[in-house]
Amino acid sequence: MERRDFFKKAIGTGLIAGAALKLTGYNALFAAENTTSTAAPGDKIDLVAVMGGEPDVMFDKGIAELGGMQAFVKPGQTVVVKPNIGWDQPVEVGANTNPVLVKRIIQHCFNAGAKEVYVFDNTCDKWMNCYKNSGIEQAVKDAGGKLVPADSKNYYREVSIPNGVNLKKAEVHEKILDCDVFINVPILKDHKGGRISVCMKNLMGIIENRYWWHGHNLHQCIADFATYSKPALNVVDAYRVMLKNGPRGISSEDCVIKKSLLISTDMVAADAAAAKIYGIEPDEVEYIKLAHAMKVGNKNLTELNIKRIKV
Amino acid sequence: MVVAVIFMLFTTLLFLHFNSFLKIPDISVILELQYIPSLLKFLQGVTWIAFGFVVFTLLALLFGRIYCSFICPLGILQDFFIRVNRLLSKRNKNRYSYHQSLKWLRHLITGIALVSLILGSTSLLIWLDPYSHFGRMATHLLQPIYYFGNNGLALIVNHLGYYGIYRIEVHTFHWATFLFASFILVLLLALTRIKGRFFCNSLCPVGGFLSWISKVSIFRLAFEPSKCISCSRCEKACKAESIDYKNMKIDFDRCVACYNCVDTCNVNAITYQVRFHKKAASNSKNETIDSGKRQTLKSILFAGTALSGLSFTIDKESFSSFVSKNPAKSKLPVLPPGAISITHFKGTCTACHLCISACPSNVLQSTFIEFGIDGMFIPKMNFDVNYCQYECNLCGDICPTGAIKPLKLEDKKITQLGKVQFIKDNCVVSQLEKDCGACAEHCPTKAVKMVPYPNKSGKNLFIPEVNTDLCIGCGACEHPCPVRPHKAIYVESNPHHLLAQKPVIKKIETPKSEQEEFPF
Repeated sequence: MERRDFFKKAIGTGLIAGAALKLTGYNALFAAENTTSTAAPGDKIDLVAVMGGEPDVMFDKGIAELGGMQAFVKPGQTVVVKPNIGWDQPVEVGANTNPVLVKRIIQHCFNAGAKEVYVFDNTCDKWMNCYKNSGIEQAVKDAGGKLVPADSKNYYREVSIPNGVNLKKAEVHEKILDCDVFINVPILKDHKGGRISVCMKNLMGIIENRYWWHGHNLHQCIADFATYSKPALNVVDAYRVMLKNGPRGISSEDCVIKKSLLISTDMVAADAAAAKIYGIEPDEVEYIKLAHAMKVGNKNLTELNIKRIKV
Repeated sequence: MVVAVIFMLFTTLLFLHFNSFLKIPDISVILELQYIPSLLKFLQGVTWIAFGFVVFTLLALLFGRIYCSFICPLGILQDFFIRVNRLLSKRNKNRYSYHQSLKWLRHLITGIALVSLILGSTSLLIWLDPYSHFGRMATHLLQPIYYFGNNGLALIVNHLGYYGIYRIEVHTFHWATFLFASFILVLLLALTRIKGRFFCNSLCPVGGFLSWISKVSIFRLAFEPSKCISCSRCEKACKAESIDYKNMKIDFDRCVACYNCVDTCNVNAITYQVRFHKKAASNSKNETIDSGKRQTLKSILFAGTALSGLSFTIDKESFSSFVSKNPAKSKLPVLPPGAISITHFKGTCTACHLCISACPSNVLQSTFIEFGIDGMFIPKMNFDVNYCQYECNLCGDICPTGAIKPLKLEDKKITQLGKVQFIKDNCVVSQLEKDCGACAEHCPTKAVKMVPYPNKSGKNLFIPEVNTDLCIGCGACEHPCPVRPHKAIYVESNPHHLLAQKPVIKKIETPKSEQEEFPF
């Protein structure tokens, strides 16, 4: 045990050191011209937007702006990383969160001292196939996290949603209820029912009966649930963005490579920014408007302190 | 005997959906040895691999009914019952005696089965084929027990932080099939207790047919009168009740080739002899039965059959905030991909339920009389339970009778099981004027897509639009539709499967170039 822990730590430290070195070197050279912010330096950053790199590199840079993962994960804590693994589709179709990003986030969690990192999704297609063919199973294994199932009612416990308008209660996965830190890692994609699928829509994968939401005003249910579950951190994968045939997609031709990443503690802000990347106004997405009105977060990007980074 | 144990083990594992360490399509090859399934395959012209019935017919011609004790899972199951029975009984001994079985019944059943086979119907084989009886027991009685144990184990190890073992929900329960399988099980338990392998010599068409052949076997078990000391051990040991020790007679047509008599005889008075020369003895088949191993193994596998009265129901609760009015149900049952047509499927499926036990999404479910009284228990696609996984073609790969033909994945993806039907007046979007899109979301081919829906409240809404040319009838739209009691979208079965068009793959208009600036 001890030896394994030692290696884990040693490798982890090495990684962070390497990343930091690379990061500082890079930033020192280009920081002045590539990083822009709408507010004065020193203010609390509401949203970090990164563009132009690979998912893992963009995350390294983005999370550093928020004080690193240690600002969110304390040593000994249990973390849940919840990507979108809804479909039995390969990476290039853009239906599931990029495994490279998932892997890097888990590594950051362990580097910050996380005791355990769990990953799951209540998938649409058969869960084993989704986990495997999305590439996320391997990514989680490589990073040392634990992929847990979510396909049985037994994994869920009922919670009440006091501020919900339509949705008064929901069955939530036990790992979410029992963890210390919940990191939401959606992929931005087309979704005709919800218009786009990002942070708040991704939470449909931590509850048991999402079809009930479809039959009871989907947008209101999404916003209702967002009043209850606020992830500590939201990381939006907008590297490969599915613009049509969503959310399952037919082929890689449904996607456009946007090489973007959003990090925020505010789901509404992240969803609003994601809407712009997708190519629509945040107000075209009803659940963003509803969640904003219910004070889940702020959809008005002009009012936010956005850190923009180009890699 | 080791061979029997191995076959039993692998056949059982197949039905238990033990895909984790063995690939199901690989071990399903052993089912090629099953008599009726291979015969059905042969009759369809898939001859090169369907050799089971050829092999065992020839073996019967040589040595008697080898199939009945070595390959037939129902036969081996009965042997297991017999052993348990013997263990539990006080005297711990066999006490069979020579009896004629119901000869007329055996001949009648075999005759009827043959005629129905020639007429191209399996409706009677569903009720008679021993392998299929076993399959249904394994699927509907044994698999739930296995899952029950697995889930208990999963509960413990998950608590300890290990997730390599996970819960598996039982979605295969079907009351009629459960009752039928239980009935046969109880019948066998009773028969084996009273009359040994009575089933095999009275009610089984494979046993009946092989008995006809083994009447003229070249090598047969027979007494050596000079050695026999008339101790009666062989007669008491004969499960088939085919030995008359007083007259030193063996009804070899009823012998199931278990060799208990050979085994139990202290003076080697029963040996294989050539039919025409009574003297020429061959000792080659004097193998001992490794009862211990078979015993332990099967006691593990079948322990706790009584626990199987669990109830599994499909979620029927209302998911939508209004009640739909228009019926939405396919007139005919939807067939699995590769089943070609209802005629073909009914003519070749013996309802062994291997596909049901193996289907990863459990969309394949048993039926009662939806295929008609001549096709009871035949599987259908049940979209209440789940939908057919786009990337899966397992059922065709494992079907032992050729009822579900193996399809290449790319062919399966354009095989149209049925056509999607949209009932606008049942839809959430038209009834509530709210977004939903669950159907289109799941559709793998975009035969269901969302289009703008002009509405009174002037909201920006989308409603499903269907294109049946693209539809493959997988049920991915029907399953998630939240409306009850009648869904707003369903698959109308094609009684004869058709070909769908391939999904349209079109590049996105905007060039795939990197953006220059943040859009906010």
